[in-house]
This record gives sequence, C-alpha cells and structure tokens, in this order.
Amino acid sequence: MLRKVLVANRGEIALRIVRACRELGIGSVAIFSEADRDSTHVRVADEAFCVGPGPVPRSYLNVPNIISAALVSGCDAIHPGYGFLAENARFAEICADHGLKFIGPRPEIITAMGDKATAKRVMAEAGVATTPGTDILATVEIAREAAEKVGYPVLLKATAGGGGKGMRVVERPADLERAFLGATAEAEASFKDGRVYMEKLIRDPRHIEVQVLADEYGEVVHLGERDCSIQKPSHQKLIEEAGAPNLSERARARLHEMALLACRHVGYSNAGTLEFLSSGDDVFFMEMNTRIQVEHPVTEMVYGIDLVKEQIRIASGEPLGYTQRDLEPRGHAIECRINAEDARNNFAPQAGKLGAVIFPGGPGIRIDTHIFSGASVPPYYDSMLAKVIAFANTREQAIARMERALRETLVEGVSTTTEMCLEILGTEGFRSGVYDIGFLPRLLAQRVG
Amino acid sequence: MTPENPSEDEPSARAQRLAEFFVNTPLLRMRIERDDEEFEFSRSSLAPGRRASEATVTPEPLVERPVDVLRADVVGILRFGRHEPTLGEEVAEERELAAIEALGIRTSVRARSSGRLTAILCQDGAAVDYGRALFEIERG
Repeated sequence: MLRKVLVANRGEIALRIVRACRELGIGSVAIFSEADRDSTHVRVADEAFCVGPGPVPRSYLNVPNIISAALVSGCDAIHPGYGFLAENARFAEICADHGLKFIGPRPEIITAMGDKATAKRVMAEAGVATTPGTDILATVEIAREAAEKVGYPVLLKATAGGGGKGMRVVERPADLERAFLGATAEAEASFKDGRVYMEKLIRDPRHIEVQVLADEYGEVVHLGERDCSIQKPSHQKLIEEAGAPNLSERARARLHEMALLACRHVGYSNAGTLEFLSSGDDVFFMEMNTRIQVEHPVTEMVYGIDLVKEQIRIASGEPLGYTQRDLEPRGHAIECRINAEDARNNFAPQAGKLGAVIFPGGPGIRIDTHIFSGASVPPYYDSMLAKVIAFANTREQAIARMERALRETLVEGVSTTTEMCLEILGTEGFRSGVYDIGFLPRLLAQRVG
Repeated sequence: MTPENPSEDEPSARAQRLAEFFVNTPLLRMRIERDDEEFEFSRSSLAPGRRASEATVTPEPLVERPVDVLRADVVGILRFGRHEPTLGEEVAEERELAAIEALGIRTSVRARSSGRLTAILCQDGAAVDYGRALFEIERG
C-alpha cells in the first residue's frame, strides 16, 4: 500500500481524499494557495504546504512547487482529484519521472482520451457506438462537405474543448462558415488549440455516464450509470442521480457493455467515467473522463463502494478483488450541487465571506463540503461549495429526502443554487424522470418569458 | 520584566523607571511596546568587571527603521551557505543568506538591502513552503 499521498487539489474533493487516506492508514499532505490558508483540507491533512498565491496558474497549477512539496514531505504518490492537473498527461509523466505514483491511468491513456476526436476514433475501433461525425476539420470547405454527408443539423466541437467552449450548433448550410470560424476562434482563445470536429446533432438527448473501475491486471468492472442531464445552459451539471430513471433495460445494458468494452480496448486502469448521449434506445459515446468525477458520491451510495479508496488501492498495485457478479446496486441516490452562484443572474459566481452555514443531516443524507460558518469564498476558484447527497430505497423517497435536506440548508453571505435545485425537484418533469439536457435551459427560459 | 503600574506615571517618569529597571538587567537592548507608547533602551556593552547596574543608560528616542521580511518563493529544502547567518550581524545588500533546493535547482535567498539581521525564522535543512518568512533585516 502507498505510504503518503499528496493531494493536488482544494475544496471538498481535497478533503474527500484526505479522509480516504486517513481511513486507509495512509499519510496525507495538503497543498493550498494563500487564499485557502484557512481551508478545511489544510487543517485536516497530516501536513500542508502553501504552493503559491491565490490565482490558479501560480498555485494549484504550479507543477514545480507541487512536485517539490511531494518530494520534501516524503510522499510516494499524488492524487490529482478533479479539474486542475487531473487530466494533464504531462503532469502524470512528471510524477513518474520523480518516482511519484500518479493516482489515475497511464499518461498515454489520458492523452488519447483528452483529445475528443482521438477518443472517438479509438472508441469506434473498439466497437463502441459514437455519434456520426468526422475527424478534425482542416478548412471550412472540408467542413461543408462533411456536413452534407453527416446531415444537418450538426454540431461543431473543439477537440480540446470542455464546458461548451468552441461549440456551435449549425442548423443549415448558410450558417456553416460563420459557425466554423466562430468555433475555431473561440477554441483557440480558450484552449490554445483551434481544431474542431463535427458531430451529428442529437436533439434533446440525455447525458448518461457509466462509472468504471479497472485494476492494473486487466480486471474491469462498471458501477452502473448516472443521469447528469440537469445541466445549466453552460452545460455544467447541477443535479445528478444514480441510476438513470426511465432508461430501458436494453439501453442500460448497452451502456454498461460499451463501457467495459472501451476500457478493455484501451487497457484502462483506475477510476474513470464514460459519458454518453442517449436518445430513446440509442446511446452514443461522447467522451471519457480519466479521473474521479464530482458526482461520484451517488454511485458510492448505491454500490456501497468508496471510489477514492479504490483508486488508492488500485494505484498501490492491489487487484480489484471482486468481479462484476459481486456488484449489485441498491436503492437510489441524488446529488444537488450547492454553488456560490446567483441562479437569477445567469448563475454568476459569487465570492466573499460566509455568514452562518448549517448543513442538513438525518437518515440518508451525506454532505461533501469544505465550507463552514465564517469561511471565505475566494474569487479564484470553482464556485461549488457543497454537494448534498440523498439516498433512499426508491427514487420517490430520495427526492422527498433531498427536498427535506435542502430546506434545512443555510448558507449565508452569498447567493447559492439551493433554491434553484428545490425548484427543479418540484417540477413534474423531474419527478416523472422524463427529462433531457434541455430541461433546465427551458425552465429558465419559461421564467424569463 | 515589566515594572509595576507604569501607565499610572507621566511618560518621562515611566521612561526613568524603565531605564532603572533596564540597568538592573544583563540586557544590551530592551524594547517595550504598550498601547500607543514605545520605549527602546540600549547600551553598547558592559565594561569588564562592571555590574549591569553600574552601566550608563540613556533612553533613546525610537527611530522606526523599515524591516525587510525575506520569504520563500518556492517550495523546497532550505540550506544555509558556508557563512551561516548570525543574529544581529550586519549584512550587505545582495548577500546570500541561504538557498532553497527544489527539483535539483538552487534558488538564492538574498538581502534586498543592507542592514542588521534581526530575526532568523528558519533552520538549515528544513522544508519550507511558499511565502514562509525566513529572515528579517532592519534596513541600515
């Protein structure tokens, strides 16, 4: 087993990893920026190193200081969490160069899956269904020919993209050139990589993803699916649930099967998530996230498995020790993200000093958070403050439990998404379990109307 | 070490009482900050064979000297050089006081200006993180 892990992250996920280390009897080293000096993960970890000032490039992306902190504190591994350096293949290589185990897949897998066009090609080779589309489009003329073949409407996407940046919907040929130029310029500005590719636009799909775990000896299991279709207009997730409601058994089985197929094909190891678009019984591979996800707790609740501990165990060279037959989901779990955002003002991020903070408890409620009464919310980072997770035997009970928990939640000092989540949970669309990724944007548009 | 009820006296009387207190200590320098008042007493040395109480002491008006705090700007292991810095020594501008070793690279910690080294807040061989205060230099 690993002896001491440096946690290269902040906020709730850093705390989550420190807790897993402690329960495994492994030492933990936190890193923090000057803006996070009083953060909970700093207080709870065995040791902590300041790695730079508040802005992300100078602290949580400061690779030399992070690696040096791991070495001088005697760590033998680094857990990257999510975001920041979690899907940076070069960082994973640098860890290896310094004798530090990167808790995640091998660098070449991160590289292949990090480039969306390459990932789609690799998945297609593996026999995984992908949305009809193209490889990188070099010119607008090539894009025009491709769109005729794929059939309008099409979606232009940045190969290095994420968060909706460098993405354009093209309904008809007349709009193609402008969309192509806009997408490449936005991708270049956002990712320093202006390359785009094309996909057939699947109208009103659901975003369903499959959690996988794979050890370093070829054993792969899935831990079911999560429905992450409740997304803000910026495509950022707000509410997730496990399992996906109203999903046909045929579609569910295909999703699970394709996830296993994909992992075996690329020789995947550690935890990962395959994201799919689903429409009816059709499912199409979208992308793979080679890290722990924000929404991992809903899977943990229904499978009774600690995914972060499993990541550390796998990175320590231990075999999974169980097979797919040993895994059976139980009950239903929902997660609501409590973000410091003004939901009535296009989810504008909020920063400042918090007043009173009170989180709910009681049966079936789990809170993953780093905040506390009087804590500061720095302006430099992601606005997520907490995840409220409700678990119950049925989906109906989980919704009722979540509503109860959100009404007990108090975060003073900043606007949060708590009320927005409550509003969504109360809609007929959500309660029926028949919703897609356009659900929240439509709800917001109705409000304005 | 503090005389009884100095705040009940006038400032000059308080200074006198503190001076009397100071001469009966073996200290070369004493500084007291309390509320809005600051007193500093010093003497160059005690004459051989002379008792501390026999030393001549005059209260000096306090001159605020700017203090440079030298901090680590990388994470690594701190090493003193061949000339280990000593408390109270006069250092020249650009004098290397220590270096931080990280990933095979040595980053010097140098005095930004000449002055007197008034605090050494680090130890040779210790791990230091970003922003850690290492030395204080009272500018000369």
